[in-house]
Amino acid sequence: MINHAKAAKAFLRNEKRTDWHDQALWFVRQKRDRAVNQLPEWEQLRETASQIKGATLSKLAHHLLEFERQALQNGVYVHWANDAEDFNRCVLKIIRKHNATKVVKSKSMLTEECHLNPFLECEGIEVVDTDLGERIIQFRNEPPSHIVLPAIHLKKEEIGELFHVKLGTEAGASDPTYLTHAACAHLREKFLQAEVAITGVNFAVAETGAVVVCTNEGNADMGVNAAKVQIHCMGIEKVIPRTADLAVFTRMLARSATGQAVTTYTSHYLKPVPGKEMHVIIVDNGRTDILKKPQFLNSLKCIRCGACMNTCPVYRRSGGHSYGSTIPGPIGSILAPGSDLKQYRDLPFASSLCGSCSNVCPVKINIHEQLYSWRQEVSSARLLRTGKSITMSVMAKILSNSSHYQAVGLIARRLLARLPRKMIYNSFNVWGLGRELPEPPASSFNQWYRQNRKNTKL
Amino acid sequence: MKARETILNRIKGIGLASIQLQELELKQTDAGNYLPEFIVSLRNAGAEVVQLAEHENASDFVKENFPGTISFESIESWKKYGSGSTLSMLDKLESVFIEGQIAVAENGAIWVSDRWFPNRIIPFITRRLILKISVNDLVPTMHQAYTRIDWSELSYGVFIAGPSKTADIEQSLVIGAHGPKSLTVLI
Repeated sequence: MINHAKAAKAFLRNEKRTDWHDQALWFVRQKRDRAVNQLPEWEQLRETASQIKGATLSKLAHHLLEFERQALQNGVYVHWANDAEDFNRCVLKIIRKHNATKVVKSKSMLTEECHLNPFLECEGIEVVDTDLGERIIQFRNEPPSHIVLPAIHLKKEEIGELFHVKLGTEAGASDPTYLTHAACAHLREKFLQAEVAITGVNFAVAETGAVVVCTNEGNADMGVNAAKVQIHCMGIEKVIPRTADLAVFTRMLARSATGQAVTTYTSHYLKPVPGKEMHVIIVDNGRTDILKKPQFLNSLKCIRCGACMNTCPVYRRSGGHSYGSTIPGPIGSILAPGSDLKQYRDLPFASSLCGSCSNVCPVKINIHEQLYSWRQEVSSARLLRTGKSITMSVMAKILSNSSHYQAVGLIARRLLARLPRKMIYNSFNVWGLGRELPEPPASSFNQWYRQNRKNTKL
Repeated sequence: MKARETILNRIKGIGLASIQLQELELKQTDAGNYLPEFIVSLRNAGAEVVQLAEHENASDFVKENFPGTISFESIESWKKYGSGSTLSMLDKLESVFIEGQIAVAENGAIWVSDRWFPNRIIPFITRRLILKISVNDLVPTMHQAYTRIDWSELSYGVFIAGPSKTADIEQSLVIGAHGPKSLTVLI
């Protein structure tokens, strides 16, 4: 079971580094604000995007079938996969069919979710992540800490050391331009050797069967266009009905993600080059379970921009790895409990419920409300941590009875004013571990009101 | 085929109330001058901008200023870099000139499709990319751009906005990732 608070505590031990992490992400949030404020119709776009996604989800089977029909007509192989295992086997089967052993992959959170890399590696296949940030964390053998900026938790000096060992860059070199170009030279060799290229999917257009992939580095296109076989992996929620809808989403995605007006490359794959093969794998892996829950199905509108992470005061100060889920941050905290409530019971609490995530979300997912609903789910499934559930039941008794409330209030005011600090701030007072309790007032509001409003009837 | 039926049946079994997809209200396209906005967007995306006078010929300009640039006006270069090419040969491409079809003022994106170059990897594998775009093909936003694309004929197309880039190391912007290190746009 994930213990978010404990993992966050470890992250916070290095204060300077935490501050740096916080600032780096806040910088991205500010860039997002500037980009968004350039469009006077931003709020209308959000409303439209949310409407499109909502309408699509309400007739998902219809749109998926239409997408499949168009893709088949385009000469594309369409596969379906129930779960991670199904999906991994499907990818392997395609690779085996071509007797391939060298695979390049551009960013895909779905393949992370399904742990495709370790699966293929066990089968003797070399999988190379080609997004720079993804390659860095692949070298380090760790998961991404952010869905758009996978290596945002690392300092350039650490990457310099890593590249020195893995790529033979100069010892002590940490200049981002030097390191980037070294990694790109290494990856270009991989592109030229790869037999199969795997990508994620940003949008799949039902009307035309187009698979749309957005990158800044150009790694999706280098991989796909160099290899004999291209495989695009999509969750069932990636389908959008019309080409016209693409305009709405491509205007919003990069602005929300990095503060760019659009990603450098917005690639539309429809048909394979004659003699080559194009495959699309449509994956459920728990998404239909979310679709079943009316209070949570809006989370399937997510376009994976990461804006909710960049703005989240908890994410910025606890780091992506503290969530222990493939997708961290606010959106991850409402997606993960849907897949395994017990494992991720902590995540809905990794939030101050300030609502900033919902405010920046380009598709208007009510993230903070869902976080609150998930807390109730955790509670009614009796999965609250023991300390929290005891406190809750005690507090419920006190707060539901006015004479209990007044009596406890009186005791608390007296004790807080008199007890030595050590007695109040100890391991039983979880709230007080990182926070000061308020100054105890001399009297309760009730007493104050009686004294000052003698003539008013209470 | 089993997974397909399972997934589709699961979705249908939920029986969500259908929500009507609304018609998109497009921003009105007036015949405004989008050129200044386009140039700003290109520069923001890291592209170099060259405005040619009406009498100047783009191909001649490229020949003069970027000697050795490969363009695909001739059948020979089409053959050489198309079916007759190998990846290691394409990997040696230094500078390539391609005609853009549609350009978007709001974000500097230029639409190219593989009808205009012989191998899909060319705009990515080259070190320098030069795109030509006519002011007549300039539209204000992605909405208008998408209506201009002929989807019935399309097999592969890409919007390109600037040279390839990354900021994956400490959020420092580095121009030149896997794709070209520079993009020049001739208007």
